[in-house]
Amino acid sequence: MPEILTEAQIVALLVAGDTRAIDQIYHQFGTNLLGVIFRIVGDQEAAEDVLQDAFVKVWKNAASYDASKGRLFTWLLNICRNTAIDRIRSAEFKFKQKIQNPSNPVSIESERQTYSFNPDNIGVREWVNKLRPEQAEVIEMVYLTGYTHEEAAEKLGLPLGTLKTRLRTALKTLRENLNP
Amino acid sequence: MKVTIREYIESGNLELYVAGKLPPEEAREVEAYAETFPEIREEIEAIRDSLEAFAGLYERKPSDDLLSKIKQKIAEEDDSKVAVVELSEEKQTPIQPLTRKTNWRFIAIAAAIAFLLSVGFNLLQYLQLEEADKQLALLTEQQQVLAENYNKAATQLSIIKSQETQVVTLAGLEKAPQYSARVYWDKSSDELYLSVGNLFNPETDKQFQLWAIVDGKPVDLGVFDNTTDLLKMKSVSGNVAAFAVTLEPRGGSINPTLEQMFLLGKLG
Repeated sequence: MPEILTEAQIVALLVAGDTRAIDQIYHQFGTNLLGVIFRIVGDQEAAEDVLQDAFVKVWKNAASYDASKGRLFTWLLNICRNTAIDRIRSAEFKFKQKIQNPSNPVSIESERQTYSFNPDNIGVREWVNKLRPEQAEVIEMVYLTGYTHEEAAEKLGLPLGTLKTRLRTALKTLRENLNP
Repeated sequence: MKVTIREYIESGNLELYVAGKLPPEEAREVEAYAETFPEIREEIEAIRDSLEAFAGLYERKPSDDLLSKIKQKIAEEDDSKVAVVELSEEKQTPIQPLTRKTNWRFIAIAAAIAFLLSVGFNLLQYLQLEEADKQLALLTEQQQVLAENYNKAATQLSIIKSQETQVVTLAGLEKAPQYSARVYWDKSSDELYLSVGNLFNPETDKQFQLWAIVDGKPVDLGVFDNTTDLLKMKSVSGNVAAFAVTLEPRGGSINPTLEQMFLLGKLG
């Protein structure tokens, strides 16, 4: 594991086309990014494949990163999430799913229907005590796995307003736990 | 306003913004609000902290060789860029594949625009310089004229002011009493100047002529036209009894035409 650089140093390396930026990003954020991707695609091999693609995007689009608009981790998360969502919507991915589960034909919607929230997927548990599962669920659905508000409301069988309220309360709880 | 900001914060748009899920125009709107309202800016940062912390809860151990796979893919990406560039330069294909080529085209267009701008700018600079040169030449010329005028005026003024200068007023004779002129005669140098007070414009083949009457005889002091300038006439010395102006054929006469005398000034 190389010496840990600051975010600004990593960005500078990235913009300069220095591959040490990739080592840094991988070591500082790789495990988290893979965790989020895995939560979306639900398969280790596919998740690692998506992460590779996401890193290529990061490499190619280094110049588009605007530090004034957000931190590096948020930018990386958004790239990884979008790449993962593109993957589960791709024909190839659906085809593989179909091959592996012939009895369970997959569409975007059916992919969504297989969605189920499981705190154990997350690997860290102490926050579950404070954040109720249904709160963690809406945060995960909307901000990590790419559901729109409308889709999440429909999936959970909630009115849109209720979903938004739950989401806000959940974020508030999350924030309070971060800054006790 | 407070209510509106609060409502905006509650709308859920800021969370979607942080998650990169807003359409570009709405994202720009959020950025504009964030610049204007500190509450919104702080809210965005808090949301970002929360979501990063939340994402930080997700962990998945990668395979041991994932980093080397990633680096290999990036190296391939860089190689493919180079390969595409070389290929398209060799073949000069009109169809431009892949993004790297687009970049070259963009660079070429940008360079062409920069070049044109540079040419335009230089041309503008050149034209401005040329114009400045013209202006400078004109101003220099004007300055020379002014300096000459000033020197002349200063000399004339010094003559007029000099205590050595005798001023003789020439008055109109009976037939035309409205006419007048003045002679400035510097006795230290014998130089003589004439200033027309009021005269008429004669026919073009005629000119006025100034005379001095010295020892009873007319002495030619030169011809002149009706003008407002101070005229330097011929120098004169000796016992001048009077100055007179006659109208003569252009170029002057050897002897004055007495019937055509208009002005006379006697020395006291």
